Formats: sequence, C-alpha cells, structure tokens
Amino acid sequence: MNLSINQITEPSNTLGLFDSSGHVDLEKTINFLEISKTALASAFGISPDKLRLDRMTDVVREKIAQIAYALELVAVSFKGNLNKTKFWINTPNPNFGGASPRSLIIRGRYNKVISFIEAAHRLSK
Amino acid sequence: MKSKKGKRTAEKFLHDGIVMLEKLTEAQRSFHSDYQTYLAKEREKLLPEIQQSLWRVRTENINFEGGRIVESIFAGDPLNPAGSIIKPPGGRFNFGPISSFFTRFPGLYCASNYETAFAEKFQRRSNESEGDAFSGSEFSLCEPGSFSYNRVGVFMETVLDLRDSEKLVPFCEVIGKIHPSREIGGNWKKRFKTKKPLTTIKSVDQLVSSIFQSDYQQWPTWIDQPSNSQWLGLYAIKAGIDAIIFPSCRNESGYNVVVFPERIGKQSKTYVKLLDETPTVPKDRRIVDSRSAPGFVSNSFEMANALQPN
Repeated sequence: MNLSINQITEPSNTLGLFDSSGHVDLEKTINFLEISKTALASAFGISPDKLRLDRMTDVVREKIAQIAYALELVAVSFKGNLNKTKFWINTPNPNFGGASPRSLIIRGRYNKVISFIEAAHRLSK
Repeated sequence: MKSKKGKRTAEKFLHDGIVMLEKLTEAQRSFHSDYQTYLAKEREKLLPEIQQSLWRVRTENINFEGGRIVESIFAGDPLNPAGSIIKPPGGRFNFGPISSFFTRFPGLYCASNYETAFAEKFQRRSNESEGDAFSGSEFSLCEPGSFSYNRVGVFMETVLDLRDSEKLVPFCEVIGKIHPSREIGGNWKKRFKTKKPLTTIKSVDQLVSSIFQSDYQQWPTWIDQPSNSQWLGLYAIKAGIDAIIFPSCRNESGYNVVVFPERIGKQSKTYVKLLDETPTVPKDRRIVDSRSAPGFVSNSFEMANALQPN
C-alpha cells in the first residue's frame, strides 16, 4: 500500500514533497535532504537501481513517503520556514545524542527520526 | 592517539572510554549492540546483589521543592508522566520508546528551578540559541514559549541521591564483577582492529561519566539499547527505590528528581504535588500519591499507546 499524504491526518504539503495526487516525489525528497539516490538506497539497504520509479517496490515507496511526511511535519513545526526546517534537519541534535537527523537518515536510522518527529508533533497539538 | 591528519579517531575515543556511536562503522555499532545485550544479561544474573547494593545506600524521607515543565498539551494535567514514555527515547532514568524489546516505564521528572527544568526539557539553556534565532526549545520541535511550568513539592520515602557519587560504590563493586566473555573480547579486537583488551566499568568515576553522559540518547538512537542511566533507573525501581535525585548535566547549579509513579503503592508515603492554586487542573490530578498514582500510570500508558505505539 502506498502511503500518500491524503491518507495521513495532516494535509500540509509545505515543502511540496507530495504531488497533487498525494504520492511522494522522490526527486524533491532527496533534493530537500541534499543526498544522492545512492545514499538513500544505502540507507534502505537496497541497490540504487531499486529507486528507479519503474522498479520501486511499494515498501520502498512507503519508506520514502514516511520520511517525506516527517519532513513536512518539521516544516509545520516551523510554520513553513524552509531555512529553519533545513537547519533542524542538518544540525546535530541533543535529542538524538548529538547526531543530526540527516545523518541518521543516511545511516538507515530514519525510523528514529520519524518516531521523534511524530511524537513531537502529536505532543504539540 | 591521533590519525596522520591530526584528527581524533573513533579508536582514540574508545581508548579514552568514550564511545561515540555516530563515528563508528555499522559493524562496530553492531558490536556495541551485542556487547550491551551481553552486559545486560550478565547484570541480570547479579540482580539480587544489584538490588541490595542500591537499597543499602538509599536515603529516606526527603522533601524537595522545585518545578516541572511540560508541553502545552499537558498544561491541564502537569503531573502526567506520559511524556517520558511517548517521546523517544525516554528520559535519562526511564525507558521510553527504545525498541519493542524494552518495556517502557514512566518517570516523573522535576527540577530544582525553572532554568534547570528548561535546560533538561529542551537540552539547551533558555537563553541559548543556534543559527538564525533558532531557540533551545526548537531543537525539540516545541514552539518557543509553548509549554507550561508548575512549581511542585515532592516527598520521597526512598531515594537514590546521586549528588553524592559515593552512593554508587556498592553498585560499582557488583557490576565490577562482570567481565567480557572470550567471544566478545575477540569480536572487539576484530571489529576495532586493536590489541587493547575490552574492559568493563571498574571505577565509580567511570560509572558516573557513563550515567551522566550528556549524549546518553546516542545508545537508544544508534543501537536500540537503553543507556546505562536508563538501566540504573530500572534497577532502582527493582530495588524498591521510589526516586532518584541527580545533578543536572545541562545546568551546573541545578539538580533534578525523577519519581517513579509505578513505585508509589498503597503503603507508600511518596508523593508529588502541585504547589500553586491551579483551578484548571482537576483536583484528583494535582497530586500523585498512593491513591492517585495507579490512575496516573494507567493513563500515561493509555496516552502513550494512543500517541506513540512502541
């Protein structure tokens, strides 16, 4: 099952990481994270080839959508401020023991980042 | 030990007894994960001794006045400890969402004053900012000023007071009996390409450094294992201790208290109460004591399960 932003409670698409039909945009997501497809593939433990749109499995697409959704939630926290959102993603954060969210995503620890962002978002409501 | 280019290497940190998981390779992190599992199992074998070692040094009947910061969502229920089991990876002395292997348990954290409460809650002082007006609370994705501070009064029947590191001597003696197995030691040498033997914590100084590591979150973040301080919280509960007093790592002049609501049973005299008039807080939520603690605990788990399944 594809995770689309329409299926999640939060309709925000501030960073534009989802297309009009609610599907995650891989290119925009990796551009926002400033990482290569190879790095993202490595984080998922797959070959870069598996990130080609015609070869991407639903599981991989869902992982990308979860990351993109979490990034959108960060943008919501910063009221759409792109600079602050990027700064948060790239800055060593004591909540992660001093690692930056981006570093964790690249090393395959994206679930930790997603859980933290989701919890913080829910607690801020 | 420095590398040729003069940089401090991961190996250097290891030889100093400092582990920086982020700097390690996946294989080295995997070693640390296995090693932590091994150490936890070894401690489990010594659990009765660990319990005794902590119980022996307990302090009894301590009063404390301070404050507690909670997210705005808890402004009407500021003694609710749910936050400690909702936000990964939990607090310094309790298990939050780490992995499904570890059962969460709540801690009700209070600080000796506002500045300490802020620094502990948001991992930054209130006047610290980074970048372009990036405030301390924003690291935690909490909008600046969007929280509630309440003064609290605490009575603790049994306490582990870590402001005095000597209190850890008996515990250190017990865990000092643990040695790496031959297999673990071999893996260490292989993964880290070192001839230096793998050691465990043997001195109180090492133990204190490990418990008050400012980046204790690195353990659950990188290898899905509780930090040593989180384990100590669990052992304190198992020893029958209601609370831990500990110096703040974020604000040198302050200290903190964590009360374990699950320890406040029918016969317990331990309580945490709001000190000020709080008409917006229901009367039965203004004190966590022997009567109300079970409700606080079950409610915190209900909230945690609804908001952040483990």
